[in-house]
Amino acid sequence: MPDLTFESHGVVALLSSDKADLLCAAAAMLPPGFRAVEGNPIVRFGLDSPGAITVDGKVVRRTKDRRAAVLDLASIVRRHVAEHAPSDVFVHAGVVAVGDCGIVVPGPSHSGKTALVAELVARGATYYSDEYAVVDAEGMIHPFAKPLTVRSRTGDGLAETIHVDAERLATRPIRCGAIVIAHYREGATWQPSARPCGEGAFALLKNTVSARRRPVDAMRTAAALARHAVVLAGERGEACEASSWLLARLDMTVRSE
Amino acid sequence: MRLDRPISRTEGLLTEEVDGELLAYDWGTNTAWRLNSTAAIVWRSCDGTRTLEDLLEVLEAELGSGVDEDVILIALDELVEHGMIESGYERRDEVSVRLSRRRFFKGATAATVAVAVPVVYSMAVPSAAAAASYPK
Repeated sequence: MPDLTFESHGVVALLSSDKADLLCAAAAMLPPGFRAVEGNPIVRFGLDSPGAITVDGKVVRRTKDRRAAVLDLASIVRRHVAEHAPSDVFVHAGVVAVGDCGIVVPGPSHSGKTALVAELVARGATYYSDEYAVVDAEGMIHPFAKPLTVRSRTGDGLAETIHVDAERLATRPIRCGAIVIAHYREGATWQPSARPCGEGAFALLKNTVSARRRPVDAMRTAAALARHAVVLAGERGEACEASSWLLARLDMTVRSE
Repeated sequence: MRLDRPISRTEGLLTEEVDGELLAYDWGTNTAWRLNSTAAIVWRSCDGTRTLEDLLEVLEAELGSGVDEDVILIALDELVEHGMIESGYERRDEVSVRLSRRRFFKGATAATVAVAVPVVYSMAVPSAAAAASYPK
């Protein structure tokens, strides 16, 4: 059975499949920056042609759609890396940059952060991630630019990929300059208020994947990111309004597509 | 109400200061708290040696005028409710708590507005599965 041993953020894992082309498709979706290695994996992921996704031999999901299966496996792998990375701290958040200012949008799945990230990138911000803020021990946020995907509006549960120009992809770590706590509500008007840094840190901690496993690092990271950041919170409606507001306030020249 | 030189709970807590506020994490129960600046000052000052009057002095020194006994008691009620006081204070009944808050806001002036009403926020820290994405 074809397989690939890889390393991502300190996690060594094995990916296997019963079909070589399926393995290739799955490998193409491994976490950004992964590298093939030789070594003992701490976890084994599998994807077979009938559509079963396994983790350490246990079936965790089944789907007959090949593309959906590859995307699901990719998400499961990223989540595992996020939880088990020994050094970096993963915060469930979208991240973009405006100049030297990193903008972190914490939030769980379905909170609308991807839509806001997509709008910010379309208007000139640099794309870091729509899923995780990856923070090192020095408090720097690293790119984790998986394909920018939004849920299909056709209601079929699949994802649509949004193209991001190469010049908009982040290539270097950045400091957190702003934390945007944006709750989506249809029809809402974006009128955020400035909040204390403690509120920003609390929101980050709530969305830190490994908070229970590594509480010391999680607390330290949340506090470090928030201490020097502007924290904004509010309800937002359409992402275009909020993104325009944010870029204008951060003195970024708005460049609409 | 019983107040006798309260002692803040520190065992089993991780804490981080963030711009005058305090984050606390109980790794035994996976509960986290955020104390705003006023609550944080009171929590830090409850070291088992200070009376209500002493706590008032500390708060006045940190926040200036506009601080009175009600602010201290509201803070202590909040902290006890969230399990952050080990001993030396028992939370008051609801009527007394409400009266304190009403006095605080009724007597609010430009000076007291600058003194934030003590608040403690809490949350259950989610597991990794809950904190991360579901497959898109």
